[in-house]
Amino acid sequence: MLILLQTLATGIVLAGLYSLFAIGLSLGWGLLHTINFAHFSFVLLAAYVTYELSTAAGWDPVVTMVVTAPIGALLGLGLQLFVTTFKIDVFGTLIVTFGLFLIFEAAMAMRWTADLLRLPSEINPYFTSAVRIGPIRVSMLLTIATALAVLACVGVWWLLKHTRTGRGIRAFVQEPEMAAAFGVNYPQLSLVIAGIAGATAGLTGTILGMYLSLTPTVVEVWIAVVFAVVLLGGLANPIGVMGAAFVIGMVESFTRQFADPAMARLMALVVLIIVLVFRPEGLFKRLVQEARE
Amino acid sequence: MTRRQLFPPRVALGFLAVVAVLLTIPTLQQRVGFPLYNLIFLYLVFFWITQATSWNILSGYSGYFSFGQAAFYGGGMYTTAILGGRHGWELLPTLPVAAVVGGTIAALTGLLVFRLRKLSGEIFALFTLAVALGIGALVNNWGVLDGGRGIPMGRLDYPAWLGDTTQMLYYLGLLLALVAVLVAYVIQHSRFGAGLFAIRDDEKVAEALGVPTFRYKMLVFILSGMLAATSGGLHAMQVGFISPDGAFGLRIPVFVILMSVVGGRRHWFGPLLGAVLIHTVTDRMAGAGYAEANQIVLAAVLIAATLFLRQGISGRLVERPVPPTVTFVVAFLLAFTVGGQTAIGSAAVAIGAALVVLFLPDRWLRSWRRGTDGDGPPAGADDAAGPAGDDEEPELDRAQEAGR
Repeated sequence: MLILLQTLATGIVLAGLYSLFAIGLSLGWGLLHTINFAHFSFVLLAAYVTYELSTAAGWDPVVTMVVTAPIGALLGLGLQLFVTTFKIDVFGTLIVTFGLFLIFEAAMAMRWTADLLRLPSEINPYFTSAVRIGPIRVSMLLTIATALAVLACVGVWWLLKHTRTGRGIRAFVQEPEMAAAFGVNYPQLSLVIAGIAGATAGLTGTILGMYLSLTPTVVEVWIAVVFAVVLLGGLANPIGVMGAAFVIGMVESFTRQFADPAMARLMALVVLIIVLVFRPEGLFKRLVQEARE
Repeated sequence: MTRRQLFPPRVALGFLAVVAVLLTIPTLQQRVGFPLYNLIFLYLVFFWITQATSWNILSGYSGYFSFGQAAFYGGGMYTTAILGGRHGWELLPTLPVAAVVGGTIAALTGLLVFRLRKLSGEIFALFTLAVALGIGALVNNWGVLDGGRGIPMGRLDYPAWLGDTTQMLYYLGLLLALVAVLVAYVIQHSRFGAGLFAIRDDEKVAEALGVPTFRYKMLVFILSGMLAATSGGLHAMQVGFISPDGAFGLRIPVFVILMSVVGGRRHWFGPLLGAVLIHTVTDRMAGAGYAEANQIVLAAVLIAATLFLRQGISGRLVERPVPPTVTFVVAFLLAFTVGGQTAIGSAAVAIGAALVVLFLPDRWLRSWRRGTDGDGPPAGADDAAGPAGDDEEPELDRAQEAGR
């Protein structure tokens, strides 16, 4: 029983990390029609920034979020401006941002070399310490990630559902011409979304900077699982992202505990493939289509 | 549509001449004694031509952009590594098995993904990526296949008349590249190819017009997988030590996409051209120790080609065949004889010069164009990519001239 609860708790915080990682991608794809492969680069860059500020400047790694989130937001804004300037279609954005991803990867390899960089544990207490709830222990770092994820997802959900900005964006995605006729300023609103998506990449980066040993290619193993969460979650549906992350996190956590730990990541992909075959639209509805009904 | 000959004499002769020249090179290399590296370099060019072409018959012709090339390449590579490296098979029998493995992976993936309602290009791209990464994870974690330790190839036996390992790789690589290019050529000039192009342009319309879209997509996917896997199996010999990261990493999909997008995706010649070009540049840059800078340049080229060069270089070359070709030959000879460069270095220089000429604004070359218009288009140009975007400019120029 205890093992079961422990596995459950581990799955939940893992889900938190995944949804924080995926929410920005999901927003960009669903609302801006940008499949941002470079999201992974933004995350890694932020992770390196966290590393630099904590080791060289002696900051507390969690505090570096005040720098990484704006950096991520700026990158997101820049990309959005680029995409609107060149009028790139959905598929074009996938290839163009894939190119950006490669450029970032090479640039980071030049700056930080291919060596493993890890925050020393004395300045990164969050990695080793744990939160105790009765007999159950969960990683402090992943708990922080989960808190951020809930904040981000619920915040975005509220923004989309209950503010003028959100209503404008949803209206535009559904009916661009009508929305424009009613005075929705999409270029401006899209920058808001791109900025938020970028900022979540920055936050994810800070978490991963504390969680992983950094190399310029370390994010590659996250690509599949994060896209799995995005696709399962139903595009631009923050609650769906959390739900999908929960499913994947649980599958991973239970595989790791009760079957072969090495197969955990593979199971996530199997879930994705099964779901795509039987429910290609994802486990959750797209937020925008929800509004259409 | 009038029925045309599949291989007009000029095309057939062109193929034969190129293959004949390439076949003599290993013998020449032994007699004259130019650096062995040239042979290895050419093998790698053949390898990339095979990979890029196999990707292109699926993704270029039918428009279903795959990020999963590594699934087939790695699948073939591991087939040869496990059968040859671990169980002591000879090399040649492993290659058909590799082809079957590649075809099976493609067939299973296709059965899953092409049956989806509302399958969009983005979903297909990410799905294939997930399949490749998934197989990579499976191989990495399952001891029966690998388990993350990697497989050393050792020495595999093969018929003695193929020469030493480098020569054997060269001949087999050439054969595979030839098969791939011929397959791409034949598909492009058949009903099958016309159907694939129709799927790419508008699948619903194609379906309505009676193109058996599901069967065509499955067929081309399986063909693509078989070619890529066979080539991957052979490449295991070149790599020597097979690891899951190397076999299923992003490098292969990145390069085949880059080569085909830059070369041009609607023409069998596109990936071939892209492979020669990008491998030459990469080889020189890596040789000079600029691997990262090279990646940045290539990625920038990928972005630029996606945004501004929808037809790829081959589209442009078909419009303007002669000046770049002449530039290439002259620059190559100059660099090789006067400049004292190596053969590969000269090729890199010549490619650079030819690209500059290729992308000079049309106006500047008008006098050239007038001189070459009478020669007619090169082989295959008559059915090349349809007019789009910048095609209209020279027409306009000519019309204006006629008006004057």
